[in-house]
Amino acid sequence: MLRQVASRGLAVLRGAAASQRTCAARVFSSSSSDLHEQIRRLGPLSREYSTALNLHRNTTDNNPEVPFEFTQANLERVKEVLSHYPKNYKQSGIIPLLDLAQQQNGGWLSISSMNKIAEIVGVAPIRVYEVATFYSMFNRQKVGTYHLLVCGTTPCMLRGSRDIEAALLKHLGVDRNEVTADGKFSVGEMECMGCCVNAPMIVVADYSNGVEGFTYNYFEDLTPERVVEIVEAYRKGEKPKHGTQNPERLNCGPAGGLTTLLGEPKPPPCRDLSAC
Amino acid sequence: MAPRCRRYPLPLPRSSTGSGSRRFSFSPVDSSSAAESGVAGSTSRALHSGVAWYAGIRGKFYEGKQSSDFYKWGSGLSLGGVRHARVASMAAVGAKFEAKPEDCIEVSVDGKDVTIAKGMTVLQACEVAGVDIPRFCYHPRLSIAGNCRMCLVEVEKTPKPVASCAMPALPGMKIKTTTPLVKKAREGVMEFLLINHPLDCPICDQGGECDLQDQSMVYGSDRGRFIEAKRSVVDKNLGPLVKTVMTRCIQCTRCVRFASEIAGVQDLGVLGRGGAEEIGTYVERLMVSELSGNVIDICPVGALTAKPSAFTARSWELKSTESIDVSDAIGANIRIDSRGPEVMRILPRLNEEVNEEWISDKARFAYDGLKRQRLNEPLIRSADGQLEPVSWARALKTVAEAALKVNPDQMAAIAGKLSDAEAMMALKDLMNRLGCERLWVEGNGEDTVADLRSNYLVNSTIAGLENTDACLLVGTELRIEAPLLNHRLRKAVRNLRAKVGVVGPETELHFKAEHLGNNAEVLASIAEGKHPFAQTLSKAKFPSIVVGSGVLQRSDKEAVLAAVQTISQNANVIRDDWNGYNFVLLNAAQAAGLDLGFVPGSRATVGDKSSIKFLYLLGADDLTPEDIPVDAFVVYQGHHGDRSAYRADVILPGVAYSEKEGTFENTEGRTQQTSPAVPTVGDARDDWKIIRALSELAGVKLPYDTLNGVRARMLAVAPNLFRVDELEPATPLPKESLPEVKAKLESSPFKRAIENFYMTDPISRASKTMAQSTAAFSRS
Amino acid sequence: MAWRSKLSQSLRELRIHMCQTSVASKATREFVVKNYKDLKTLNPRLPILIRECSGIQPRLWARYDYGVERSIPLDGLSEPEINAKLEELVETAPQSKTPMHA
Repeated sequence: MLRQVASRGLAVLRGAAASQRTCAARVFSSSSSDLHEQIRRLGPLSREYSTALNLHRNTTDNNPEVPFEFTQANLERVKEVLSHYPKNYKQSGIIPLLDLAQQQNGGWLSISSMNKIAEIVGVAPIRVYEVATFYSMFNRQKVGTYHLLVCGTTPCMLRGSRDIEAALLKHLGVDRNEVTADGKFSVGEMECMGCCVNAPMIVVADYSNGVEGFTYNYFEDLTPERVVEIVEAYRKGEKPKHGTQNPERLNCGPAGGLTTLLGEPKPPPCRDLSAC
Repeated sequence: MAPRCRRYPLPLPRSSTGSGSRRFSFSPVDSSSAAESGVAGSTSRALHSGVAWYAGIRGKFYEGKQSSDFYKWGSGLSLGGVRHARVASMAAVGAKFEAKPEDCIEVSVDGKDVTIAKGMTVLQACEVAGVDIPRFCYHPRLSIAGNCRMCLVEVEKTPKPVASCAMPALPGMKIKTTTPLVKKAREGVMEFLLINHPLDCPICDQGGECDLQDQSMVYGSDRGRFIEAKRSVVDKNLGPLVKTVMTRCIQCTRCVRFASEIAGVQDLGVLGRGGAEEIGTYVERLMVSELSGNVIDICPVGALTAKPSAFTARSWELKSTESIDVSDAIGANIRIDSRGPEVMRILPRLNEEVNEEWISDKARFAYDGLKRQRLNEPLIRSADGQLEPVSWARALKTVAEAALKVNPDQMAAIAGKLSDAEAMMALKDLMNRLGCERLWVEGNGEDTVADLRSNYLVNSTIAGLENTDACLLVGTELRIEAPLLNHRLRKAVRNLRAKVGVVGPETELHFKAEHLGNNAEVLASIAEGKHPFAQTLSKAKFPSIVVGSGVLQRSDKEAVLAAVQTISQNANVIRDDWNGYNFVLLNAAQAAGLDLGFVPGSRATVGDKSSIKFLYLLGADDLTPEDIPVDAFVVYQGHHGDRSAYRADVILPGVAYSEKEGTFENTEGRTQQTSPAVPTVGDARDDWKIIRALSELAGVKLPYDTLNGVRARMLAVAPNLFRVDELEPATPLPKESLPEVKAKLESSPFKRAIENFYMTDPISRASKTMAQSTAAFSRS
Repeated sequence: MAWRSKLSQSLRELRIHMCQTSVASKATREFVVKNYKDLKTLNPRLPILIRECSGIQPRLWARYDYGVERSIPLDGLSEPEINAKLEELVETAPQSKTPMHA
């Protein structure tokens, strides 16, 4: 329910708000009933950066009584993480430990896992909650085994990320941040992941193989058809090739081969390099 | 040119402790405890980044001056600006001392040159120069967050406006606070703050005393540029005392810092980020602290307001009266805000020596008890057992007749927890003149020795307890018995990493303390030097012992006090420049009662209550009806129809602390006076006047009939009670001058002195708010 | 000094006022330091209230039966003289009588 509210908010924000805000000047000149209508259509404006609200409510599968322990192998990793920081600043390890717990826990952080980390680094639980609520990559409610994150920042948006997302949501039959009935997939939104040259792109966080097999792969140069193929490949247990999906491209190089930088670059014309 | 040093505000060690510059001397931060100390250990983002950044600056600033005290002071700052907070707080009260020229720097504020101490911030420099800087997140007693940006000022040769609260002042800085750039910057900040702040001032309880409202009058615009709907935030449940309207919150994080740094409860945090940022506990949880009400005062907007007084009054309708709190023995300075005959709220008043600017929840919220269960006319129990109203003359005559019928040895008088010194003086004189010597004050025990003031006072002084580096608590739950003293000890633990050991009931003090055990054997083994904590105390520079007055209820109290005496001697707790022997009293009346000698005189009967035929209760309610002999004539003089009133044969209505001018002495021996804020109830009279009138009818007329007359009489008994707002230190006698104690320690455990913090006296027992708090917060 | 054990017979309460630091109170302080133990051991039930207050005149107060009080200023007196004054207060205790039946 909460998820639906949140995602509806985001959809409104992405759709109506963006266009409405550009014509704020017009809004001022229109009549008062118009103004109210405009404001109403803007919808809730508080951005939901994360998959959950900023407060915890106990549920049957997420309450402090549900035990959480790091596995033996992961306890070694915890030790390793903490060895990076001075003993009196163990709390510096909160972020890597939250990440570890999230991978072990199948992609999300239960309240007990956060409490456990607070215990390990020796701070009050609220200090861990603060960190976990701050970062949108920490999921505080369940996600799919494959958590698909669509980049929604400007370059990807201009290159059709909304279509990518729509295709995903339609294919999987879910809302944003909703998990499919089989628990395999969920779709979320991401801010820019620095892959603009290959836009649009998604990230697949693969929690199917625990901490050891965890992958976080980019799929770039997507089309609505291709993204569905990728999902289907994952469903079959395959590991589709990540990186650019445009067969004509190599990494972020131009399609069809290089057009510039074909030879040794010439030195800048006006600088006497030997003088440097 | 050598800096010209004026007198200027800086933290000054109390002269009574005579410890020179010790407050400044901190060894570099020990790694393990830095993690425990609230702020450095905090991952709250605003806090963390601000403090780390600040500490970094400080490190550079003091590079190469390792020998000076100020260097150490600077490095102490990595504990989270706590040192700094003290500078600021002292600046606020204007404590003065002459600083060495090399510790001064000169800066200019709006063209005016001021000399300040090294390490002060730009904001403090402006304060010294008398320039008021608007601020929301900055609070002198809390660490620096630097997140509201309202305190922006211009500093010459810096490209951007500077957040003055977080920027250390450097020599020769030219600070400008009135330039167009500053105005524009602050207007920008204000506009951002108001994007999401609701325009509900007309229905907001903070209206009229709101920082945001006030500052928007200076820096706010008359219209907004944002058409988006304002965000709304889910209200948090902080219990029956603090009302939250989180939509009004501007995320200054003062409450978060207060909770973790002052109250010591790590429950509040900043959740989410950006436009979705909010203050909360994340999980369903109440903030359980005896000081929780103070977040109402530090909240600069109407996000946290007082729940009991919600929607009852506007700040400008209220009459303020400066008074003293009587709910515990700390004597916190308070301001009683009243409207007509009604107390509307109680706020703390600044007194660095006593309560700083905090008060406990009981002091703040028990006032609604002043309206309930009040006694407003003299009553006499008639033949059918019912109490019926009578005239004052008849009531007093009945009491006088009853008193004269009884042999003086069969009389007794008990002063209650809230009695003022004047009433106790008059009652003592009256009973003495009638020949009765059997007197005691509730909480002091029936046969307490009141000879030496140093034996029953907090000798280190309340503020001085901050300086201790090892403390032994004996038979006390300090957090419950004296929350503000516990806060001072907490400061010592945070700032000086004081080691605290507890002998007594296991209790949460909100700081790191070692529970050594709850029996007299532990005490004996410390006294014999066998226990490791004995070494901790002996090694400490400023060792202290805090004994709870709960031990006075023990049958082996003399032995316990003797053991404590031995410990204090072994660890050199009492010496010329430091007296760390502290006895914490529970009730407001106790110290003055002991000073006045409101104790059994020689040859008085003690113990056996069955012989009592005439019992005078001055607001005393701790005796259960079973303790009082059936045939005794009981007079109850007080303001509340509490427990003992049900047993009384005659009830004489007195007045509560909010209605009288009374002298109280707090647990450190400081004399303070309450002032009447509201009129008396019904036919009630000042307590000392009732006793004076009674003395005339009893044929032993007391030789005073004015308040000053009573006080002059107090001067002849305990002259220190005449020195209002002053602390008369008590000199301890050397051990050789003290009589030997033959009593033996018993093995029984120390009992809790207070079962329920929220209900300890007739006023708080009558308070609905305190009943709700009991239900919400009590430990059982 | 047999009178010392009679202290609690004739007195109901003894109060000693003095200043913590002043020269005038020095002898009084000495008297307290030297004699308190003895007085208290002999009269364990007698309140000997030592009240310090800066700048006050050192003074001995005795309270007898029925609230009768007497006081003697102590400034300028030596420690043995103070002792003598105390003895005087004990020896000259008023006859106890109940004022209400008088």
